[in-house]
Amino acid sequence: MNFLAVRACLVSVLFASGCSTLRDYPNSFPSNLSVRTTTQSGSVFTGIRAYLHIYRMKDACEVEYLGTVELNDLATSVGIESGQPTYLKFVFKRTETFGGAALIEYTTVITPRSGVRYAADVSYVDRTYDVKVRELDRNGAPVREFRRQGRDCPAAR
Amino acid sequence: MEGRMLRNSLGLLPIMLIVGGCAGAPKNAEDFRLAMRSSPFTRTETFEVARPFRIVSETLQKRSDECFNVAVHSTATSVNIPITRTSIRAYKPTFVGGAGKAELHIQQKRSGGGMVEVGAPPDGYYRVVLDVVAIGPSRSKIDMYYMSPDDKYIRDTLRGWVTGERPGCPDLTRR
Repeated sequence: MNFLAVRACLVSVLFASGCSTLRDYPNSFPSNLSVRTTTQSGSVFTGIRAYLHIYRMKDACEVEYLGTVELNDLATSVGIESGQPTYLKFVFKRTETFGGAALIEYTTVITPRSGVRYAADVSYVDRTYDVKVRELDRNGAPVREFRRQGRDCPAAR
Repeated sequence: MEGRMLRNSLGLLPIMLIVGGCAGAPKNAEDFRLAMRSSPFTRTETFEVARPFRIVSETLQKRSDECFNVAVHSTATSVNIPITRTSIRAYKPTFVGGAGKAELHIQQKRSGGGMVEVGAPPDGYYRVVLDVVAIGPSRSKIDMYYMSPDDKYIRDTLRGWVTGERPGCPDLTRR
């Protein structure tokens, strides 16, 4: 059972800040993915931030980290290399005023086709999150939805 | 002598009760339903939705696979003593579909951090069982059984799915 294909991680109360290996995604390819983000924590004591980590897939398991796009409550344009299987990891980071943090991940894999546009609707509203990544036709209507998908890695011994 | 034997017996009594209670945990969905119906400390809900059975069933199958095939990893580090403990809550959804009737079972298995679940089924304790049946071309009836008020997020999520009001996944890192 591949029930660990999707993981959510709760981070330690003593979450270490300032030690990050994240970097900005270069966004050097023509824009073909539009991300619309909505975040509402549902509590004044809770903050929610959303990020998109982008990886180039080398095979079904191994990936190369390319960079991170911070998502805000507007539309964000991202350029992803056409023809390259790309692992998209949407992450909601939840922080509590009185301590504690959590990371909720949603991953999928897309291989953008040349000349085709894609759209992602990302939301975290009052303890419920949803991510929809779709391929669009020429009129902007969704024609295909990418399902939630993790990497296919051998089980650790 | 008799007093010492009585004290020893009484010391074993709480242990026996705990083991007895845990060993009686429902082993399958039907046992869970029976247990929830008969216990005064648990909950059941019954309601109808103005949605076709096919739509409700497909939603439950698709969303449960996307949202409940997860493992929540928790890490806690003490401030005074540099010890880090990691525990895992693994969820398992089981969808059973048929003509005019479908079921969704949500199990939770906890491990790590020195935790041992005694008497639980192999995939963890049943937390919520939901039954849906068609009662008309555009109407479905829902029966939901849940273990504890702590499962409110799961119940609210499933209710959102069957009503179509909230299609998203629950943040299972929150209790």
